[in-house]
Formats: sequence, structure tokens, C-alpha cells
Amino acid sequence: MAEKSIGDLAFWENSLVIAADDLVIETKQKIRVLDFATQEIVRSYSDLHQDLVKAVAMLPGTQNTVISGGYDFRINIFDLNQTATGVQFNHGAPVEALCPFPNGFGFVSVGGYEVHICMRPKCGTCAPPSCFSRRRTRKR
Amino acid sequence: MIRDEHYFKKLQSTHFNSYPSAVQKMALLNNSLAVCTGKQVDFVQNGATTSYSKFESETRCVKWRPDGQLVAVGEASGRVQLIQASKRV
Repeated sequence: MAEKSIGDLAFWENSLVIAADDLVIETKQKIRVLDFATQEIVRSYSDLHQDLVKAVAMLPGTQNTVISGGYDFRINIFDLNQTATGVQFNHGAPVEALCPFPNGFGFVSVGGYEVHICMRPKCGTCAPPSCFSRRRTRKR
Repeated sequence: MIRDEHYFKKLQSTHFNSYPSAVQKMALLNNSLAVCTGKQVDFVQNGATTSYSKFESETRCVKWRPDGQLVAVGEASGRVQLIQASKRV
């Protein structure tokens, strides 16, 4: 198996957000932004995940908010323009896929025997990524 | 029976494909489905399938750009290919 497999992709403006499914665990920069025109990595995000990243998706209704999930059980919601880590959830199992709602008010994460539905409270004033707090869990 | 179950029972399989390799990921945009399997990506539209197989290694993921003009495909080797939707055949 290759050392630098691609876990998932997401389009962002004129760039591509790449979730690196690296088997080299020491590589901390597992989420990178590739520019189409220059074909170079213009940004990378370290310490978001400690293991393979299997899913990445842009949150609909936002410009720069990304959800990522990996085999370290973590789901991160963060802003591509900010260096600080946003909100982090524990899925409780390796995250295989993420699917945001088309209205951007939540997302579904799957992995292991678990399906989590993460909803944004209807407060109307808060903005992603800081507002995801309610969570329902279904276990088999 | 809840309302959702009624809804899904009414759904019928309109198209069925069997692939020799494991299906890694799928991406749906409007009426076009992109399926990532083996060293190729299959595009299914209105029941017709076209394959794009100019890849060096196994494909791992596929994603449509929201405007439907571009498809990005990630390979196991770490390579990313951008395919123009109009020239995918």
C-alpha cells in the first residue's frame, strides 16, 4: 500500500482540501490545501488528527468551514482561514464518512457500529464552527 | 411504521451495477453519479455508464465541484486528478 494515499477531497474556492490518508503516523499535517493553478500545497493543518483522516467535507452555507473525521475517533470542525482548532467531537469509533446536511445545520458521521447526528442549535445568532453542541447518538 | 419507512419502501432500484473491484466512494450531483472502483471511475447518468480509467493506481475518493464542471479523484499513490465533466469519456 502506498504511503500517501488520499483519504478524501473537498473543493474550496480555487483549491482542493485534501485529507491525507498517510500510513506514516508521524506526519501530523494530515489536512492540506492544494492550489489548482500552481499545483502546490498552500496550507496545511497540523495536530487536528493523530491517525488516518478518512473524511473531509465543506459545510454548506459557509465559506470556509470544514468538517474532518479520522481513525483517531475525532471529528473536527474548523475554519480554513484560521490556524486555531475549532470544535472537536469524539465519535467513539474510527470515522469512515461524514455527510453534512444541505442546509448546513448539522452533519451525520458514520464509522464502526455508530451513526452520530450532530445538530446545530436553533439559536440564530451563533455561527459555525463554534455552535455545534447538541448531539444525538444511536448505538447498535 | 414511521413515515420514513413508508417512503423508503416505495423506492425501487432503477439501476444496478456490479463491479469486479471494491467500491471505495461515490459522489452524486444532480443526475450524475461518480463511482470510485479499482483503477477507474464510472459515471452513471440516466442508466448509461461511462468509464474513465487513466489512473496509475487504485482510486480512493471522488468529489464533484458544486457547479458540476469538475470532478476530483484521489488515488492510493497520493496523486490527485481533476477531470472536466464534459471530457470524461
